[in-house]
Amino acid sequence: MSEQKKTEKAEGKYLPGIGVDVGTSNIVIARQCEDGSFFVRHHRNMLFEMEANDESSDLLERSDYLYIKTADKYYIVGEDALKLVNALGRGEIVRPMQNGLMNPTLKKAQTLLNYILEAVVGKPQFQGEPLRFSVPANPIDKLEVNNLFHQTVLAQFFTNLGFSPKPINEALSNLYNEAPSMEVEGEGTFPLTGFSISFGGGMTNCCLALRGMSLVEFSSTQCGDHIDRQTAVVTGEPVAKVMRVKEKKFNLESPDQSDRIQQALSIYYDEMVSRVVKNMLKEFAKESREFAGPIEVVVCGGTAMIPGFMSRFDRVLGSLQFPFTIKGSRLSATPFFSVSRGCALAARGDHKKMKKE
Amino acid sequence: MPKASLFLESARLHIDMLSVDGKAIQGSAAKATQTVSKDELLHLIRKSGGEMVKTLLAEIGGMLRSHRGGTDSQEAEEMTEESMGRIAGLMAERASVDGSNFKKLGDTVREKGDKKRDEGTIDILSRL
Repeated sequence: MSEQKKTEKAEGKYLPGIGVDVGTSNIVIARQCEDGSFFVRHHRNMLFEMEANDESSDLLERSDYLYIKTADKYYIVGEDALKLVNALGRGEIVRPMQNGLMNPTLKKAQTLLNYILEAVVGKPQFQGEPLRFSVPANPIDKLEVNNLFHQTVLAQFFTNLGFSPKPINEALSNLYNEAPSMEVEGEGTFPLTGFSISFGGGMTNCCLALRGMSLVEFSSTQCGDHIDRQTAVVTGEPVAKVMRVKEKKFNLESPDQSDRIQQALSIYYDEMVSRVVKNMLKEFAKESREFAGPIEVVVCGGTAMIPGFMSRFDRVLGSLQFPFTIKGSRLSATPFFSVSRGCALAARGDHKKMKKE
Repeated sequence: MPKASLFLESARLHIDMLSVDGKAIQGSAAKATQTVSKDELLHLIRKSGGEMVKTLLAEIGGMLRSHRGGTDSQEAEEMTEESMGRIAGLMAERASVDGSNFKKLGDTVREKGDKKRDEGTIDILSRL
């Protein structure tokens, strides 16, 4: 059997609609298969920049690194960028995106991001196939930042690939995948009702929804990448090394206090969680909102995947008084893929709507 | 000199050849938003990357050949030859940027879903 046929058999037949989580740290796409399972492809959204010269050219020819060549630079992409930085022990990774949006300090960000997106997303199953891509809400702690440019550029790009794209708030898509519900005595169950938080690389996105409709959306900057950067600054270690420690051996329940990196990570995690939850409280205090039943909090995102994260989060959440009763919180069973899966479900909803019309 | 009207996507320097001297070649000329000179066109091609160059090579050739009746044929011929030569050079220069390096991008996994719950979600979303 050819490799292609084997792959097709393994992937199964996809239902119409694709979800794309365009994250600061990772790009994740999801398609639902006929049996209800999800096919997911993910890629680290990062680059390592090298001058295009004989030395770098030789290195790339002798390796199987993935790279993009522009007129004067090589950009090693994805996981290979991280591997190379760690192997070289110098230099820093570059992100096409920063704080949830295209990186304004990297002039080629748009072109480089599009190369990566095109390869990861692939072609539509048919012209005009529905596609939902995640976008952050405008941040409440950086009022000058607006997601309109980012959103419009991505929509245009996906349209040109042959999809029929629509943006969706990142936290709302997590809520669609996690499907929290609210029980109200005498009124029954309110599906797709709850509070969703996505702890990403660049931002924390929040959304409160009732019966699948978003009531309030907001984001805070300085999430996972900020923790890495701050830890790198105070320990004098490169960001790539901090990331390796965080992802391979860090545990928030029992950080190794003799390890300066883990010590700093623990401090900055506390600071971030505390800041995000207090920002949530401030936002909710702006409007008078009442719910007849207790609200469940559903959490996702790579930054929330560190062991022990939820117990620290719950501790802060429980210490503050919210304008509604919190039933409890849970981490998604698929925290890394939840946003893309929710996007795929929304795209399937778009397709169903298209067929009705 | 023939002028190519190009629709420049904001998402990337992808170029749809739509018209020459205002006459539609492919698709709707109404989509064309900017007219650029041949040099500007080549500059854009140079910036756009390997895959695009391959597409443009075919598109420019086809466009100019089909348009010969509508403009000075010798001029169009010269542009075709010159463009082909320069684009071929660009393709060689950018051989390392071809798409094959990207086909293996991304790790894949297959994850369980909750078919019944997800269908309920999709039903609600399709009615929103």
